[in-house]
Amino acid sequence: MALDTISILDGNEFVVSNRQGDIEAAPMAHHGLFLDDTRFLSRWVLTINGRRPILLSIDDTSYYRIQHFLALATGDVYIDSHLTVVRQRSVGGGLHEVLVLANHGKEPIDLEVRMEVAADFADLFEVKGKLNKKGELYRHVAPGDRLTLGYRREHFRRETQVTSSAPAELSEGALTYRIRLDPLRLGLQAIWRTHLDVFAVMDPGRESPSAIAHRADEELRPELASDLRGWIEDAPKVVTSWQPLEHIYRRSLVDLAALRFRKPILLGAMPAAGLPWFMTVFGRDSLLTSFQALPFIPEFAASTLRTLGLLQSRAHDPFRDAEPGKIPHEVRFGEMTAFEDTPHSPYYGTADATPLFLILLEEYERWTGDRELVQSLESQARAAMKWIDHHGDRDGDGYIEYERRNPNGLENQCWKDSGDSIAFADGTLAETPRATCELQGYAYDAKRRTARLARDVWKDSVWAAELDRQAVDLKRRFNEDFWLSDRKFFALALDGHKRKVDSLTSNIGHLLWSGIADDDKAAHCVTHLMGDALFSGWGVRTMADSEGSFNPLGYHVGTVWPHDNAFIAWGLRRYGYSEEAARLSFAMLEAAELFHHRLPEAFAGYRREITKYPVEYPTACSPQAWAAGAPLLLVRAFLGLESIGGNLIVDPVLPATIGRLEVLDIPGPWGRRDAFGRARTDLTASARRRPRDPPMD
Amino acid sequence: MEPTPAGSARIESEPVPWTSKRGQAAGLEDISGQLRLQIADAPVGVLKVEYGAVEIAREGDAPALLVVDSLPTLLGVLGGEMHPFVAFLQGRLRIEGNRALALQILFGLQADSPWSGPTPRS
Repeated sequence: MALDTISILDGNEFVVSNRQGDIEAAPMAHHGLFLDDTRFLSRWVLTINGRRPILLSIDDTSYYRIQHFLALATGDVYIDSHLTVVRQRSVGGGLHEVLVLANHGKEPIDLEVRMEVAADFADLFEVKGKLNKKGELYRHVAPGDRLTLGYRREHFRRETQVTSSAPAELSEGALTYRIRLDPLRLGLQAIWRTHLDVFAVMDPGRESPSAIAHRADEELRPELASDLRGWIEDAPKVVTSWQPLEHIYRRSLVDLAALRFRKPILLGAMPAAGLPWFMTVFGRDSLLTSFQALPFIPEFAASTLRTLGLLQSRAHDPFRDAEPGKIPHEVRFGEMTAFEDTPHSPYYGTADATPLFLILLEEYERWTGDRELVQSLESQARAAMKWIDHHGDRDGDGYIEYERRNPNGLENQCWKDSGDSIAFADGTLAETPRATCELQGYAYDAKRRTARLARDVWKDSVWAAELDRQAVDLKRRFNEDFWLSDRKFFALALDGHKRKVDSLTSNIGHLLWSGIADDDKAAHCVTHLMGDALFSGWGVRTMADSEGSFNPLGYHVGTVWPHDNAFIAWGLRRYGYSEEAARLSFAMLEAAELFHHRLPEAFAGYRREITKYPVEYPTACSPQAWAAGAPLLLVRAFLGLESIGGNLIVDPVLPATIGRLEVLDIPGPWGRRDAFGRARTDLTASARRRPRDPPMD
Repeated sequence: MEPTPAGSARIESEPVPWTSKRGQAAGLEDISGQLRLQIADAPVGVLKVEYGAVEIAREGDAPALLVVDSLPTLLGVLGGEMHPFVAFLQGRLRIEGNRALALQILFGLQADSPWSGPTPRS
């Protein structure tokens, strides 16, 4: 997010304004009230007697409400104001704003208070791409009642309706109040206020605005405050001698609460991926966030699995890059999706969501014991595995590879989905189809985990044995075909000619998480992951600084991604490199502390020696779901938390700075249990363990 | 089960009535359920799915309701020619009752038209 903006959100609804609270959308200012990928308000600017109040301070301690304290300045140097202006705002079904004015002078003052209003109904893709609308805008003023701003394109209609509790002169572009404000010394009745409601109406023909009740008190969205309290009380408690971790953990819980959203198409609350560009369902993001959160918030996984199982493709559909069994990548709700200007209805251009779906399904059963849900998703699981083996393996070489069928689809259908991410060490882009290494790891892990479910839950021992056999074969082939014997790490990918893409990247860390790497090769990968070329000091870069495409500000070719690092840390634990996992995890948490306890989507990959603070990445989403989930997985890595056979396993390895760490009331098949760890003075000796097999009891 | 024409006069006025509309849907082989069909306020029948076998009956119980704005939308969705999510976003389609079942059926119809020979549209 730009530094000069501030946001509030509730699920996939959010408001981006400047710090004064004004919304002024422009090509380089992505302000607005957004809901379902549509901008319902593009201008919302307050003036008083023709001037804009200046900012004194902001109260943004809640994710869904904010207060801007302003004053109408009279001096150039000193703020010599007699007029207090407060804008109290919340989001939900639109925007609700209480505008409060108080006169601290000795005489009454006459004021013209004006709120300029406009709505461009831009689709989020139109905002990003600076595209023009294809339909018709309209406006309507009902005198004394409401201002309606509307948009129509065939059956597609959206409206913004604005009302005011205090009488206002309504025009097509503004609400104007002409008031005489008595001095506050005459009593509290001299305070002037109006409640402004901005309703986002999705279907004007059928839907009446879901009004947020005008409230005389100043508690905005009290139901959300109550919901958030319950959310935090239900989650396990983290108690530690290193205080920043408690703040980071709480921040993560609040951000994950803020990103929850519900739609008629979703079977429960799912996390939106990230503010502002990805406030919708993303298969990969939802699956990985749910995995990170499982020991703490298992509800996310249940909703994610049910919903993605429901949206699993049943058709061959090149426009949507879909084949039967494939788990969706992205669902959008805006106009461009509605008219198939974009393919997000849903779009299936991801090769990893399908194996990740199976991985999460098995992990979910471990942490909840909920076999009923696993039973209900058997056919989806079988379809997903069939996709991995057939449609995912486009050329029958035994590996998942991807190549878009929609020319406007994603060129890279792995988590590093920017166009330049899959490159050789000399910087040359790899040709498609591309088989990235972590996809093979996910496929391996999916087969092993699905074999367990087939054996234990679906009672299909024949299929289980076949999946185990396939996993063993895949691991053997992968360790031969992807290994770069001269550089001692796994190739980033095989390109369209089956050449090994030889850049050193963070992808090798995901191979540890999945368990596909042979132990001797994993040891080399660990050396690379913790070496200077990849490890910046704050975290593992997406690409090593030794590679031709490296750029510390490149989205997937040099920046540091917290979620990436959390999975790498968990992979290090899986192979017994607990000291390295603790070192990496703590570095990431130190960065989080410096980001005011909230990890962003990504940050710059500069060496730690040249900057005492991690450098922000200019357009990173924040909050972002899998960045918010990262600290949860890091806590899990510190304590070595596993659920095996219905038992909670704790195997702590902590850095010295975190002397003590407790996680209380961890939910699972056992009910609620606590985990505790202390730092050992001889961390090095205690941490290096024999590599162990993935827990497949 | 004997398939019967749907009850809407608008449907019956189509060149090919819905009599005997039954078929096999590759995308519905793991699904069993019924979906009531309605154009605006007019009920027009029930889509019955039995593990791949589909038919449109005049009446029957159904836990889910599909409401569309027009006959072309209904025919497009049932024939796999209009994506149900697109119709939903355009304001042409809504679902009541068991949403999961309705969506599974509608997504499954995208795999391949179950209407062997003439589809409901033809």
